[in-house]
Amino acid sequence: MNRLSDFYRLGAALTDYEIVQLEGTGVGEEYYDVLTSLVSGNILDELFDDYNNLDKTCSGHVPDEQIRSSILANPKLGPVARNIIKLWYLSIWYQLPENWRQKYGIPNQTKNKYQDVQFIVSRNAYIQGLVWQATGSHPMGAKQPGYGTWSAAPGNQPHPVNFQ
Amino acid sequence: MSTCEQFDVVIVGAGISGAIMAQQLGAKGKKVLILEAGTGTEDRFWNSESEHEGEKVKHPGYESYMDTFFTALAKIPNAPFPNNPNAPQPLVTDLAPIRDNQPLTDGYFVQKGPLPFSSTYTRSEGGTTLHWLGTCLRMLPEDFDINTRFGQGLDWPIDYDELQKWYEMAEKNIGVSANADEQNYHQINNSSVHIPFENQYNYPMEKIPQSYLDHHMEEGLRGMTVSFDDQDYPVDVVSTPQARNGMPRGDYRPVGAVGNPDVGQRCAGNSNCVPICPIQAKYNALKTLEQARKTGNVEIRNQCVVYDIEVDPATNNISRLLYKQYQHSGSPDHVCKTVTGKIVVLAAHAVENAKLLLASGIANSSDQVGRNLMDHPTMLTWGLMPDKIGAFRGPGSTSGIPSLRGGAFRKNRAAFRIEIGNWGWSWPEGAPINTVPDLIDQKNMFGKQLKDTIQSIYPRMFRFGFLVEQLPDSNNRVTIDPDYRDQLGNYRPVINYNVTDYTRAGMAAAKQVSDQIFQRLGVEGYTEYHPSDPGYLTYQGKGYTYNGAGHLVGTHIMGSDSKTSVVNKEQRSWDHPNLYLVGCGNMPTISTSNPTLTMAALTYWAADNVLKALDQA
Amino acid sequence: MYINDECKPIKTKNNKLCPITTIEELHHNLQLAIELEFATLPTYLCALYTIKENTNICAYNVIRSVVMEEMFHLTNSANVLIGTGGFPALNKPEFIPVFPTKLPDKETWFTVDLQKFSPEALTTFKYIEEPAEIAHGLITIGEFYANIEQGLVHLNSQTDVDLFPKKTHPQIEHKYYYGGGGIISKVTDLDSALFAINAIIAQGEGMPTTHWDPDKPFPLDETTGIFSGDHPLFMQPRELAHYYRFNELSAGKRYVCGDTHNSGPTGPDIPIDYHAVYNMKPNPKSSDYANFPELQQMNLEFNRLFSHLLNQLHDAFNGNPEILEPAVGTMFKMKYAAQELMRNPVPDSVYDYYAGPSWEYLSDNQ
Repeated sequence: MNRLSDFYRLGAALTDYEIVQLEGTGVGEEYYDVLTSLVSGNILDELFDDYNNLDKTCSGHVPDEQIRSSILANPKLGPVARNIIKLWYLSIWYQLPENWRQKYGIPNQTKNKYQDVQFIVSRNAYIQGLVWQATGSHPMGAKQPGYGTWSAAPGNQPHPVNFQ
Repeated sequence: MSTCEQFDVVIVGAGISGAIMAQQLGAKGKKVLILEAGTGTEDRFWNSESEHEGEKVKHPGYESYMDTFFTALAKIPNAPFPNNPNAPQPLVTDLAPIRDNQPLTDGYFVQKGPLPFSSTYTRSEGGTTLHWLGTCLRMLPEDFDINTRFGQGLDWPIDYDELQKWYEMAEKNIGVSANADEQNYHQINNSSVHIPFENQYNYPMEKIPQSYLDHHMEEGLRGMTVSFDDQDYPVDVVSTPQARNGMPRGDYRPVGAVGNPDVGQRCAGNSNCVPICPIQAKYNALKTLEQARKTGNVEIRNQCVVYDIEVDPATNNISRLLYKQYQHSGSPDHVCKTVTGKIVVLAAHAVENAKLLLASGIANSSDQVGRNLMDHPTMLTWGLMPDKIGAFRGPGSTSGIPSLRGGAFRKNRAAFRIEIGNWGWSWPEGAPINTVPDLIDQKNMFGKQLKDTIQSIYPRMFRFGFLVEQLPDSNNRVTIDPDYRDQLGNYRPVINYNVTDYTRAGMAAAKQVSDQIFQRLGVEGYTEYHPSDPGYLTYQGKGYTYNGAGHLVGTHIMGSDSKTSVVNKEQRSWDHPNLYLVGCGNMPTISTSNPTLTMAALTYWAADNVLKALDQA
Repeated sequence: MYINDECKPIKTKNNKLCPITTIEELHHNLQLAIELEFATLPTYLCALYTIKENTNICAYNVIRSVVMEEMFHLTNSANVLIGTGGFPALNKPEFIPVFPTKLPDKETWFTVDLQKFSPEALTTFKYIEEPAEIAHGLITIGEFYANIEQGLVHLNSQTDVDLFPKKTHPQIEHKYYYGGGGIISKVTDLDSALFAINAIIAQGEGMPTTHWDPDKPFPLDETTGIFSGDHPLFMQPRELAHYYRFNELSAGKRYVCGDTHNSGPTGPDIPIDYHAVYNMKPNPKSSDYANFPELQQMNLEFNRLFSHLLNQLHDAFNGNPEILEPAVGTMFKMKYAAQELMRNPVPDSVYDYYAGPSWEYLSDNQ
């Protein structure tokens, strides 16, 4: 099984966005890169396998409680899952909790592209944060919506135009 | 001495006032040099590279600011602009409460308190207009003589009528969008705030569309009044004039981005005026600098920090300026150079002008240099509207409540203007970036619950900003101290600052108005002021927090008496016949309007005075 | 671009345009002008939006500049049509060509595809914008507009024709149009109508001329293009005809002072990275997504926006010019929707293609 597509599947469950929307950001692979550089492979395998198993046993409709009990409440997997949510929503990597790092962390190495400290993944990633869509807005400083659009009532639907 | 370069006019500072001065003089054929302490982008929009002796040389453009902005974790007003130890600048992240008289020394400012001065500015080519919001309010006629009228503050040596034509010039050249028949405030039932406009005059562009929130607020507050000293005042929502490209009137052509003129001809709603408009639909001084360069008579030299100004003792004229030119912001290596001008104009910003005058020991026979530092202590209140009002969209603010800017209450307490913020809780709470992690980490949300929560709450967020008047106070001042210097050995500003009861009483009145508006609109209030806030203060037992407005005013005030002011009404130094000071430092009071438009108007006037002086010589 | 009777229903005789002698014929030709200008947009925009964020900046700006000018031409034609009492029609499926579509290239036909930014796309763009001077025996866009001008002059001289009636729908004024392309002016009489049409001819491929010399240097500024990276306007498109702007991209070099049609561009390199491009499937169709409901939904959303845009433009040109304001907002939304599609691989695609929008007009009930 392709781990990148596992990453999208888990991401969709954790964020409530569809896989095509996650792929539509164009920065999923960048996030995956960050994740795989900062969290060891066996933990990610366990995380993705756990979710895939839930998905299989629930035939595609995993109840929230299951995700909570097996992933979010799991001391090893929970912090990683929460970081994945924050990657998708905010495009920021947050340093993993102190106790997690002591137990499971990969020591920071200067030659690595990424370090386990707080950082914005990239310029492109920042403007793809899901939080802006969820807010009904757009990333501040990008994806300009056009002159005067702020006067219209909030909502995503184009305004009906009256013409004969 | 004989090798010293000579110009008609040497200007210190490539911000808005320096740019206006240079453009006006250059257009009249005067040879002008601008010395800018910071780095610059020299009319480039895109980043580029060239080869010099086999090595690639990078030439950052305006886009380099966008790169820095997007990847900066703290999106503070100065986030996009280079951290330059050779021309350091204050940052809001430097701030903390001042305890036990221990000065704050970690940032660029040395803050001696008792309260921290919270405003910042930008030391780069283009200056603070790179990150300003673009609000372009005129002052009220009564603002020019508040001492005579209310027994408070200082009177100006000029009045509104004298400044009016320069306001018009500034509005046209900066490019302000507004409707004159709203901005004269004649629709407001408080004659103290009425502003006379010339008949037939209108702004070059139509008003920027007001936000959905503005309309909602306007409807909700219709007919509302508040009472001060047994007198009723209206609470009226009015669109704000903005230096932001909108729909042009007549033949006016909005000016797009420097180096990329097809973009930025209209505001496109990037919702990022502060810290940086990606398309330069919002005016910045780079536009005027480009026009100045195009006259062919203006040279702009970046990375040149003026550190001393010498005077010819025979004439009291400025004889030469001494500056340090550096190659890279990362290294303090520099060469010292000198230059002379028939006339010298300091346009380096209120704090930097004062610092340079103090460092040079000039223009200070009044002992007023550096004194009367003012800001608009800005108090925020915030909450959730009952319904979605579409937060985080549009320019930072498109309307305000100006009806309480003037009135008899100014005898007793500060006036204020209310700014309606379009970006939810981004200022008070850093929403959404700083608030969503809490939903995930502490509130244990994910999936649908998380998305639904953001979707239902965030579009309801809104905030007010109360820009409270502050009076000139000789103890609020910029000084220098040989113990505090930057990497080039230049002085860092040492600041003493406090907020008097007059302003605190204004904050208390503002909070009451806010409470009444929240009650009327059914706003779920979330405002909190904490003793750990850098700008926390108390008044009559209650706590309030102010923030910096970025409106640094009054360090070399103009007046009609050389003993109590630094410049005369022509904005010329009382002490040195060929020295002009421009910028907000000239303003004797701050009142309730964001100062840039008034400063720009004054600078057009000053340029006219400089031209006359050059032609007479 | 060339006109003939297979391209669109227009009257030609011996491969020559028939003179315009009635208002109806004038309006027909102006409506056709609007359609021709619009027809190029999906092609250009597809290439434009496949360019990955913050890459190929020069190419992006050049294509964008051409798009803006096509829209300027469209708006000018619409103003002449409105000013002469006509009614532009944009809200119908036939307004949009079905891709791949055919255009004549000299003796043969060439295909215009919706495709990603690539050398092949640039070749097509050059075909589309080929200058009149290179064409032999074909009716060019320049001639097409010249024929409209002659029609205007002729009709204006007819005493029984009220060519510029007092009561027409409001035109698109300067204040509604921005962002490059040109400055819109109002059409009220023959002079202003000719001015509007001339602006199109001057900006496009130019008038055909028998004195054209392929070795004559372009009217470029002496400093243009000679600096490498440090010229502030290096990334900007220049006042060259569209064909030559595209030729700069396909050659990967800038024209400099002294360059001619025959010399080609000899200036500094333009950095172009054809890999920093989404691999969009050529000529996407809704049927491509039949088995992928999520992509189908996304494409439908794009087509909804596109149709909404056409309705808005139609409305703006038929009495409500202020609708152009929100229409710009719709254009931005289309861009973001197109890019979202283009970042999605088409599952099971043999060529590793990515999705793309199908540019279809949906009537109200769809």
